[in-house]
Amino acid sequence: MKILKTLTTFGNVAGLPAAFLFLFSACGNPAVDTNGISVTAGAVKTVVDAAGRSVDIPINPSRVLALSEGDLDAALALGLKPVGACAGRGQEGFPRYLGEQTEGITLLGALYRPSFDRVVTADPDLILLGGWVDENLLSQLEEVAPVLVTYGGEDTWKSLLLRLGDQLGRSEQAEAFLAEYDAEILMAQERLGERHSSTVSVVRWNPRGPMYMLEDSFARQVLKDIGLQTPSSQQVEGVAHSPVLSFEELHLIDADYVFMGTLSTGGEAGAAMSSAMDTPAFQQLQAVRHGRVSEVDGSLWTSVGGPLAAVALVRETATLLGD
Amino acid sequence: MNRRRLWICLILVGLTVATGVAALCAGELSFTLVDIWKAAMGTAGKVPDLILSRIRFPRAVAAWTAGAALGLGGALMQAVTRNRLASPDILGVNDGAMFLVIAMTLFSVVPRVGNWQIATLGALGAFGLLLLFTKGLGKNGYRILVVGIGISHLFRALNELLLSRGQIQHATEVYVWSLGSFVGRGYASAFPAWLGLMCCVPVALAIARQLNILGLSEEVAYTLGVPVPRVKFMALALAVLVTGLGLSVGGPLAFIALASPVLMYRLNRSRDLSVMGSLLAGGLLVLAGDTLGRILLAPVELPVGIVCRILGGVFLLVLLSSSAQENE
Repeated sequence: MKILKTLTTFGNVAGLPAAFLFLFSACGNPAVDTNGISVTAGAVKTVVDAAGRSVDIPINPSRVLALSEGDLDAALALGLKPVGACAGRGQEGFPRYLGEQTEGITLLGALYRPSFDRVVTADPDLILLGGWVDENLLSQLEEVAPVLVTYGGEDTWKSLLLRLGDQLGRSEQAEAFLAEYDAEILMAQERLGERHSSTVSVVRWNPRGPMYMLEDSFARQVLKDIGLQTPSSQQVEGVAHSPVLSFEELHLIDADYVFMGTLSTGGEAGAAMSSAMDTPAFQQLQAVRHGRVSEVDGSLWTSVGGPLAAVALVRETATLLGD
Repeated sequence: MNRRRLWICLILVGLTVATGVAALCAGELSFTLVDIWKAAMGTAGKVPDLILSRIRFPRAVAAWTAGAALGLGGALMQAVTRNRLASPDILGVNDGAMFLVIAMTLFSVVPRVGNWQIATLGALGAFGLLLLFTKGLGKNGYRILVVGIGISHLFRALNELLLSRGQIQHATEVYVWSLGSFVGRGYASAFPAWLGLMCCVPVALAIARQLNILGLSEEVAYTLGVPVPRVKFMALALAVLVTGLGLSVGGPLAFIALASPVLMYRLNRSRDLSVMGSLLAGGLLVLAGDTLGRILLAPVELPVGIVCRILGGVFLLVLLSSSAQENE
């Protein structure tokens, strides 16, 4: 790292056009202050994050930025309201299912493309960055405040919640949340009665067509907790979704119940979904014939989710399938 | 270098500095020249120091470097093929670079992406395929163009396939990169491209005269003792190398390679290759595009790749209509 910094400083000095060099040579000098602006006098502790990095974070962070949807959701679930967060994927604002809970949180920009003006202005003492993160972005964020990589490829929302709770000194809240979730599951099972072992298909539409969510995706994990089954045609491992299906393959989305949604409201994806619903291929589906297709919020059902999303999803399933 | 070309280069340098200052000043947080001076001295206070010295300036350097490399790559490519529409992005170099980036990310085991330098290898790989299939460079570069377009479509199809099979988490990051964006980019991202430019520019300057003779006609070049195949190969290899390095900084940016050399032909009123001019024009265009993209819809950034595509489309139309008039 040190070598890299020296090299890059050299790169900066060696390569600058003469005018730039003359005007701003001091700008690129990393020796001025290595801690960023917001290191408070408070106590710090060292934790290991989801990417295996050791990070010194404040014991009681109060000004947290959540750069991906999972971080925003998990921080809110732990009772720690971030001061700023990025929009949800494919959306203009925060994930819709969070509703009023995001009031007062500053929008930092699109997912993984935060506005550094806002990041710096927020004066954070901790930055949460989950998912497959870009190392360049990570190192530039570290100039502002310590960055915790909150989840990686293998994580579920539960492991994210437990780890983050532990790192932020909020394990009790995490345990309490999981207990509340289990209670929600029991309530949903009661409400669903014998339907709780039906097969359910979760489908996201984009402008090119439908995709079903795979076995290890967020929605499927939650549905599995309730006891709802994956249709035999969809038992494919993976955390994301199938490729876009053509109309010939449309029968693959069939199940006892079908939940379909789009990431953004309206727009091309919504238009693609509603025009497809009028086609004969779609009308052939068993779920359509029995009137068991529900339109749902894609930002909740077909995205990466989080603890609050899990509870919301259980409740919505109970409402949609219960009597 | 004649007097006119020297002046144009100096004007471009001046414009670049002005745009650089604008890039530092403009944004949701705006600063004055005094702030910049203080930040350069390290006395600006925490927020301006952080924003100016550690975020905006390194980013401006990265954007300029990427643009300079792409501009130079485009100029060399057009000089060899003697075709104004020949640019590395049309020949599949971008798509080859993307292919390797996507493949590496999808098969990576660590939950991090960021080895964008691999893009350079991808670009060189696409060029290797191009040489393999063209079996020599062909007259007027037409064969290169046709084969290049084929390779570009092949890689594009492979990329779509990989992305549609990939996991959402990976796909989002790669998608951001594929748009062309300088969020989070700084010295570390730009360093390989800098080093590459430092090595390639002298070589490009050295072969510029021979390329210009080649531009008259191959027969003339042979008569004057220009080692035609070697010069052509060197120019193409340099073009692909700097293009690969350029797009490894912030992703593939369309039209810069096409626009910069053509802009220089117009300004110089000469068909000759302008190494420094194209480099400066490319750097200026990307720096300006990145700054616009950052401030127009703040806090949401418009990726510079999209800005380039919009401006480039307009540019291409103007160019085509004005050259149609010339021919009449």
